[in-house]
Amino acid sequence: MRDDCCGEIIAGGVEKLIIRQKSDGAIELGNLLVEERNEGKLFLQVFDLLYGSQISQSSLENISGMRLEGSGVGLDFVEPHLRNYVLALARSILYLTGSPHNPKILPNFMGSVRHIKKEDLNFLIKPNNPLYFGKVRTGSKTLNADVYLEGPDVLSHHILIPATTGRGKSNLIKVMLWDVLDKDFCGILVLDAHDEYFGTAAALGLRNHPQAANYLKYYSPRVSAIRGAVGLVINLRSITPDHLKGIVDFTETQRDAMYLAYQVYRENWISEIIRDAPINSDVEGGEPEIRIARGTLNVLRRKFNRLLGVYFDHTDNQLKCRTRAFSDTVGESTVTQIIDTLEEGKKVVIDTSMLEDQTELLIGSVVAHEILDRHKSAKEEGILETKPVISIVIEEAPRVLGDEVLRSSGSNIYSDIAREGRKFKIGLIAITQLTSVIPKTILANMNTKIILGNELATERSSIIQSASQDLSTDDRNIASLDKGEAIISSNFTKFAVPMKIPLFEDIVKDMKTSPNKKIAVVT
Amino acid sequence: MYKFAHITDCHLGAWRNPKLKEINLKAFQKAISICVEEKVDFIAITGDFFDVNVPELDHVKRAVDIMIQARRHGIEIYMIYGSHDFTASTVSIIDILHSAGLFIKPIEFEQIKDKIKLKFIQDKKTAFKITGLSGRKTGLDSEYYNLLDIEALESEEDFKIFLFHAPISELTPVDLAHGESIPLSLLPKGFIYYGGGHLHRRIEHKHDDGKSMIVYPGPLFGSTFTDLEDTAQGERRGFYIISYDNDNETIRANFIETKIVDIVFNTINVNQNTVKQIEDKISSMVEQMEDLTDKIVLIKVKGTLASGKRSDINFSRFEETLSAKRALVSFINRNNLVSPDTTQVKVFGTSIEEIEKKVIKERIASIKIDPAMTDEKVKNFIKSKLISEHGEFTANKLLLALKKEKIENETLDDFEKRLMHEAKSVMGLSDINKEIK
Ligand SMILES: Nc1ncnc2c1ncn2[C@@H]1O[C@H](COP(=O)(O)OP(=O)(O)OP(=O)(O)O)[C@@H](O)[C@H]1O
Ligand SMILES: [Mg+2]
Repeated sequence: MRDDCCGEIIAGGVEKLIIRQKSDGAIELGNLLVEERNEGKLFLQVFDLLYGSQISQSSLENISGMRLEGSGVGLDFVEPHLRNYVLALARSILYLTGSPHNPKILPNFMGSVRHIKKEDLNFLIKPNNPLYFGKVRTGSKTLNADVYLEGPDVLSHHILIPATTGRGKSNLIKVMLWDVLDKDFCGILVLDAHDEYFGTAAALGLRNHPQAANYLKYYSPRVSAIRGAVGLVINLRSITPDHLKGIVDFTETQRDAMYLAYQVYRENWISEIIRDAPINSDVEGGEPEIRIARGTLNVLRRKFNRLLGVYFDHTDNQLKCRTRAFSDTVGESTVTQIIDTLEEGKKVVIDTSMLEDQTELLIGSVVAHEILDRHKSAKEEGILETKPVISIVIEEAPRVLGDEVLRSSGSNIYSDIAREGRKFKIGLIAITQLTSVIPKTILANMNTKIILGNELATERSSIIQSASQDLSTDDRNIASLDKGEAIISSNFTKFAVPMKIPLFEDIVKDMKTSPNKKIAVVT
Repeated sequence: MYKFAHITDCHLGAWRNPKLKEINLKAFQKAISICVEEKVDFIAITGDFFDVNVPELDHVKRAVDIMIQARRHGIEIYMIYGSHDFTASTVSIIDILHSAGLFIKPIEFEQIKDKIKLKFIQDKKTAFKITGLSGRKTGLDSEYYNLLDIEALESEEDFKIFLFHAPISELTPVDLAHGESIPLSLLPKGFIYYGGGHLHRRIEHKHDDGKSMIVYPGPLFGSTFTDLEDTAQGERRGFYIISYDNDNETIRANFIETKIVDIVFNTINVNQNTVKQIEDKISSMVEQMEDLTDKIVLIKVKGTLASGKRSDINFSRFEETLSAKRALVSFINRNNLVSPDTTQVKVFGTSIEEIEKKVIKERIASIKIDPAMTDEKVKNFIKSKLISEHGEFTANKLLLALKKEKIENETLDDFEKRLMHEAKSVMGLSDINKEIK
């Protein structure tokens, strides 16, 4: 028997292998075990633990009773580790014979297994365009083996990050962005509803990255935003009625009115509506029936007021915006600049913490529409290959990908991207507490899932059902995941890899201090 | 009450066409004359004064003569550099004018550790404190603004003016959006006036709740046909006279137009037209045009040719007709006319090198090996030299090799040989010949 053996396979089948644990085998839930064979290595994962004993149940009860009631002082088992032991239930997850593939064999009957070692994972080579997630984990122990996947593939086929609150979703995004920040194979847009990614004087963030000045742009509508932040101000002329589709509910009449206003006033349509322009008289040869009714106009104005915070100030005859995020004078090139930045493989964080939910989604929609357009024409011109993949990080994804919203408001740009984005090198990183409310068709398109802890059984079950690997025995595993522990299940991994995501703050602190910068000054 | 003028992007010496070059200079003359008439306290010029670092000397002389008119009237000139008028490596004409004391360059600084501390120059008449940053040749580096000792800038007492030559992200018009820009948040706060150059567009922005202003006057005339097209479409060209009321601390910006001639601009849209059809369209437009005396006439032809090349169209014929109609200058812009055998590559970049690299990348991405090709050697050569990253590498190297300039005293023949040798070695051509044989 091998020195490092931790147990032997004593029973079971494909669905469930039963391993007797060696007394000092220290097997944990979620552990990765390896059976070495002549042809290669078979990897197993533990999904349950239970007791085994050579002594009959009634004898055990009897012994316990005597001890508890005080008449069995000094009563002990002879060679207890031979008589009582732990049984681990496991499944084979990977067979490595030169290359890794799905196991179609059973391990050797009575064969011995050992704990996984870092070297066993040497087949996980760093891909050309690496996207980092964390380190391989076996049970609660972290191995010093990095989990990298081929970035463009994974990003264009969408990532779903399901977890209940506080399990480390935001930390994971920060860790991923940190590693990929200065890699130009992807541009990533983050709609940051909690203003938690860029960092502040008090909290570490992506701004602490040594390449932040070159690879990270931060937009914020705050007046007192940190130096280097770009004012988040979007000119109303950048918005078309299409951008509002599926984001804000409009009646048929209101929608028609918007398109009519757009026809008449082109990109000035929103400011003209807000200014109460005479839409009806300005239509060339306007048929009376395509005029916009006063009431409709009033409703639209109210909706824009709520959505964009814009209104007409009669005291000085100017259009104003409560949040400063929209304007009819400045910010003309904000959207273009954001997209140019992304197209250079850089990362953009937009602080939407001061904005309404719908406003955040609208800003994302404006940018996403334009990126999709650009990539569509790049595809037509045959130059899509030269573009980086673009990924959009969106929190609380059911706001746009949920069953209910899709049914009531129809499709929106985010659901369009979920469906066909991969053809145009555009993907989503969708974060959600609820997976069950996202339609199966969309979940099926999200080809990588990074599953963090989840105590809700219904959520676990819909995550498991939509995973790329068979996770049917992993319910307990998922339920028991601690903060920062995850399972990554992807079309681009051979098995569902258990992971430990490092704490972002630790990564930043570990960063070696960069050598002094040289300053070149123009006189 | 004090007043000063803000002029920018004169691009003196621009235009190959002598008449346009002359108009450009006249616009500058007009601006300076107005400054003298209006008795401004000083003039601030925010970069790209000349179009190149060594313009024709005859033009330089005339520019100097004009500046001296202002100086004779006791009007001081403060000037920062733009991206066109200087090079870091050699002496530029503008440096000579500066050494001659023609203007003051308010961009002195001290480097303290990893910070740049800008020095202020106090104007004698107004007591305004002026400082600024020149433009950079190789794109703009917001990191550079990041290095400013901002506290020192902001805590300086008195009325302050900041001159700069860079686009500001939030204020850049959409058609000038591509390329680097600096966010408003990087400008030091608490100045009464921020004078900008670089963008060829007039922008007035109330800053800091109306306490100060950020102004880009835009060029006096313009240095490209796109500039003139914009002018024809309503963009007014000129400069600003800024008045500042010290008592009430209020600022007023007054735009002054420096129009010298009228510009007529028409667009012809074509869609899959033949050379003949396009010529007919231009011809009928040219015939209908009237009242062109002493005007600049611009025609833009855009769209797609059905067959043939752009050069098949006889553009000069129409330009002659237009001058016969007494147009001062006429120009037919065909950059947006696409012929079937050219696919357009659109790239954005901030430096020539960057744009070259991107164009090469995009072009090479569309080159594929003909599947019918059977010769393995040729195929391998193509694979290893001409397509994908290898192709990009070769192309960039080749470009670099061919950019070499003639060395002093080298004969033309030697120079040619040297270039040829380098180009061949980049292509590995001596080898392939051997191999294929
Ligand atoms: N990988 C990790 N290792 C250790 N601690 C972690 C890890 N990830 C997160 N945490 C801890 O958990 C806390 C919550 O993490 P985080 O904000 O990322 O969760 P979340 O899922 O985004 O929560 P919310 O639902 O509120 O958005 C963090 O403050 C951090 O201290
Ligand atoms: Mg979070």
